[in-house]
Amino acid sequence: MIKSPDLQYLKHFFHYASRYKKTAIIGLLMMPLSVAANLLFPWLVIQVIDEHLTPGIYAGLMLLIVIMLVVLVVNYTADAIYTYFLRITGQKAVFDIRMALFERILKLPRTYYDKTPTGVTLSRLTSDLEVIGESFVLGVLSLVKDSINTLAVLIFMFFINWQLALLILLVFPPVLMLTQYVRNRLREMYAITRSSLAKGTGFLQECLLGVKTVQLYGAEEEVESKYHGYTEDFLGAQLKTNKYDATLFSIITGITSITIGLIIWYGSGKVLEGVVSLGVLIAFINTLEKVFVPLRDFTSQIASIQRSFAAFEHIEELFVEDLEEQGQKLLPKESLQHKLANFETLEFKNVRFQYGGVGPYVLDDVSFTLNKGEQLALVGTTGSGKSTIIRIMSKTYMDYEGSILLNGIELSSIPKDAMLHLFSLMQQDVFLFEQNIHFNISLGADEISDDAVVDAAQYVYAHDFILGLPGQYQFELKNSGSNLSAGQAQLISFARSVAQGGQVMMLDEATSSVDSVTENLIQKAIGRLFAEKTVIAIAHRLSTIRHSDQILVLNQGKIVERGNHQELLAKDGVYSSLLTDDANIEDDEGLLLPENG
Amino acid sequence: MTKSKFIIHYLLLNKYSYLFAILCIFVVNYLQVEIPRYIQLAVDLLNQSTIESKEGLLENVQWVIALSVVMVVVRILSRMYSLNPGRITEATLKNDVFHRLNRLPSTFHEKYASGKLISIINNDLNGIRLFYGIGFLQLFNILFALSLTPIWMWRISPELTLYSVIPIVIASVIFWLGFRKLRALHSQRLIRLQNLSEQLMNYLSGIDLIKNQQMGDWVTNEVDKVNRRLFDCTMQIAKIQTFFMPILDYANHFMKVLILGLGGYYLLQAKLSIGEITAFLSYSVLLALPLMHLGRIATVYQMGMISIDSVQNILNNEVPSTDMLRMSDAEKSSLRGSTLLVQNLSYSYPSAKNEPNELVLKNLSFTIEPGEKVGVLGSIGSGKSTLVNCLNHHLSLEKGHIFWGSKDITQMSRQDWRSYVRTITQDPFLFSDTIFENVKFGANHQGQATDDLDVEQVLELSQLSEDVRRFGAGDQTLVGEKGIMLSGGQKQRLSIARALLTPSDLIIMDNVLSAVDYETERTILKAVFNRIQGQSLLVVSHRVSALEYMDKILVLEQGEIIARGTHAELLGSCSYYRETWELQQHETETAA
Repeated sequence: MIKSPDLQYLKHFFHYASRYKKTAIIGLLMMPLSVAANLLFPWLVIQVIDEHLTPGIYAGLMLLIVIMLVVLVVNYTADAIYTYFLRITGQKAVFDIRMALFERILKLPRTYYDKTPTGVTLSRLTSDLEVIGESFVLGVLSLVKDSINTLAVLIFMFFINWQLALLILLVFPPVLMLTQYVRNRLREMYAITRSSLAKGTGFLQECLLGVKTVQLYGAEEEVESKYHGYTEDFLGAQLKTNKYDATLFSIITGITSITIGLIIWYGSGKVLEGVVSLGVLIAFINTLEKVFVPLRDFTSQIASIQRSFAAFEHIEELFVEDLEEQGQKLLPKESLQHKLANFETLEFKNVRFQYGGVGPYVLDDVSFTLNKGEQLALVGTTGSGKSTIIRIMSKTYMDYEGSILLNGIELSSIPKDAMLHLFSLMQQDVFLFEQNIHFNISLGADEISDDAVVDAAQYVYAHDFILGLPGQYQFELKNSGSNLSAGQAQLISFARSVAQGGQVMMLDEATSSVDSVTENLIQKAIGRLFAEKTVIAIAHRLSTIRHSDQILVLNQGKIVERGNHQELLAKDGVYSSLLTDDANIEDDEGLLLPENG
Repeated sequence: MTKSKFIIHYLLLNKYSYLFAILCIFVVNYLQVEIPRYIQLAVDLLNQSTIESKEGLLENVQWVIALSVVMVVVRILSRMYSLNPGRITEATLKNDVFHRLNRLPSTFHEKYASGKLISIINNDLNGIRLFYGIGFLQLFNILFALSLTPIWMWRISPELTLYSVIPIVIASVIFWLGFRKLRALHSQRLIRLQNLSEQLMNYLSGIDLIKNQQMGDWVTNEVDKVNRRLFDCTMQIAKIQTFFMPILDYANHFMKVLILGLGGYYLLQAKLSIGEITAFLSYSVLLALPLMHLGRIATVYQMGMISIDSVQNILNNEVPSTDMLRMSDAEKSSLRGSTLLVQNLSYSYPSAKNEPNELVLKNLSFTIEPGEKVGVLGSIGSGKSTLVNCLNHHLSLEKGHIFWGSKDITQMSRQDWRSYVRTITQDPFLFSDTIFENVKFGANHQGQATDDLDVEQVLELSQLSEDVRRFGAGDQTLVGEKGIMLSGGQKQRLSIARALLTPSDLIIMDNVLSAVDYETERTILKAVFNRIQGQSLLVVSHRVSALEYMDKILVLEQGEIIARGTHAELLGSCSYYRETWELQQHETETAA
């Protein structure tokens, strides 16, 4: 019934469930009790009819009735404990899987995020796990209980009267074949529904995140028609699923009545011959429910387990997704602790890089050295590869060609967590936690004192505006900082990178969207950094670049010029033309931009 | 829309399907109670054990089988026609909700994180689907089964029927106690699930920072807390579901015992036949099954109600009535190329309490003539972005302050207004689609002939075509989620290309060139000036270099226009302007 790749997917689930063996065993121990009670009941029915009702003997009937009540109570208790304890086991496994997946997600490389929309990852952690928690756990629990009970009832029936039991068995093969057929159709449908759902959700999410853009461009109808397409696909598959479900359900429900007819028809001869008692016949008719109702529920249980396999498949993708540093030969962290305690040098030797291993080289034959205490500025038009250099240095992207040596050790052999403490990165996109400002600067690090937070804020001249906020450093940020202006968010993120105190400051377009007056203050702060720290900066502001020990001018991934400010000016090349353009803007565009004085 | 109106509105959507389903459900339930009657006759004939009875017995058995086959067919129809509407309602609601979300103003979207909205659309709509599908089916199943079965039972033995009610009453009381508790727990669980999904969404969007700052442990710990809250709630639900709800199943078995005990007593007194007891046992199942389903339908009902509340939280946010207005084509074209007039515009962000918030914009007045190029210079927090968001009507405004020609922009729909005004925001949003599709975004439906859509040309104008050529797939290159494959500057230039593609009367550039260097900035501005000679332009920036050549510059400080004039005039009249200019001038001078 279940294919081997399916079982493969379950491996992870059972791995996590096996941590809760004890709970599971308590639940499973209830099983025999429940089965016994389940069989005793029809047996008692036969006794009541054959020993008391048919012959007309009243004595002892009440005792049997009381025994039947006791059997029911035992059955209820055993069933409840079985289900509850195994549900605990299943839910705890789901809980652990969610945590395990989340921890895995945190270790996935940037390339994973480039190709996977966040909505998809989110639905793995939420709706897929919901499906497993609901459909799989509950489905399996009832499936196991029902199959064992059905089997026991069948054996019991054979024991009482094998001819009648055989008659019931005759009905099984067509029912099972039907189940199998529908199962396959349903599986196809679920694959379609889940993928159209995921696509729809991904798109929906983008539209909601970008709702302002959608509205400002009057693109409401445009995105809606696309979304309607996804909804239509989803609905189409759902309606087909429904048709199969309905057919299967109805046929199996009807089978009970048809079989009752068959039993009476066949059994009547036996009763007349005296081979079968009336009690047995009636018990059979009544117990048929216990065989066919589970058989019917099998399909819905299987359907729900089916649904969960699609979810398992999705989760498995995450489990097998290569981790950031998986399969790379890394030096043990301990051996590096001493060597990487302080930043000494960083050397790029003929480094080439392309995103995802395809397409044009974003970096082509880049070589430079950055020593402790030096400042390196990266200059070039947008898309020239400046940001890529920083992304590679911080090991956000890994598969570079050539050689990068950090303190003389090849970067690709250093575990990421052994080197990150050396760098303080300030990225283009500001991400803020929905916590207070203090947390967003200290990032919860205990070793950063309150004073250090304030110092860092003062360092980047953010202190004044923070004092103007309600609650000051305790001001809670909402919605990734939507209650701050873009410039304020930049300042916070700047303060953060200062507070984190790495030995190498990486500044990536640090001064964008900050007005000139504030920018001037920040420039002064950067000047201080340039004097005290090792810095690698992508900047468009001249003052940032001017004091660098080394300036690399990049164009389409190649270093086209290098040297300090004076040297480069003397060369009268790309760099100096960048600067003179700045000064002579009127000459350049005088025709288009009317000159003003 | 009230809740009941909402429910009825979507029920009527599939009224014919529902009506047919009700008919089928009735037939199924009728056959269900008829079949045991034939079984009863058969068993009694069997008990007589005469040769004549055998013929009648065979006839009854044939009836049982024939009716069963009919029941199968009708049941298939009943399930299809009652469950399909659930799916259809779900799909319709998805589209309706999305439609509404697209049109709700910024005040709404600031309140609801997108993760929460998605959770509502994905999870809550499930609840609504079940409500309109399985909930409907089971409701009528139960209604018919619970009304037909007792009648058939009553015909056999009124006394036994009355006694059979006892276990049902007891079970129902216990069931409803559990049900009330479950109802509260389900809504709590949904909220906790939403919280989890919101939190995960948030962390996923900051994944780079979390990794680089090695905050994995802290973040994991936060997720663990929320995950645990969800787990606790799930287990509380499980407890009630396993210990309370099955009581109803057992009511069926208790009934059987009662029938055997009491029925046996009547049988011995010759008040009942053995066939009638058999039929009664069958009816007990028919009575118990719907009761079992009562548990399910109750759950479906309560989840449905919770979900409807959630969805109504969105749908009850009315789109402002002015946004429903549509201008006639004649009116639309008469307003082309009008003057933008801003008159005594003040703005303060709405505050949670009723206390008045500080004014972010104070009494601004200015005009932008057709074709005029206007600059706004201001420092951080001066109100630049707020001004832009007022002009494009992103923020909700009072009427009488901004006019397009003779028309107050608050008196036309936002959609209409935005066919005149294009805003290029400082945080451009890109879809994870191709560059081509991203440039064409917003131009696809406007009825412009496709030959107008010269994507290549606007890419050239925004200085992006060279970058695009370097990408392997040209303008068919996928930009990744939120344009992750592009640099900040490339994103900004792409959003400029997007804005230039569709003709509009006023282009607003809100600090859009912050991530590109001076060189590129200048080339782009040149191209934009060239492209839009007849159109008005408003450039908001903190860089004087971007504004120097504007026809008019407004200097914004703390929400007020402190000076206005041309570059040359302002150098003489405004110290803030001069100071800013000198700072930037200083840079360039030392460079040269």
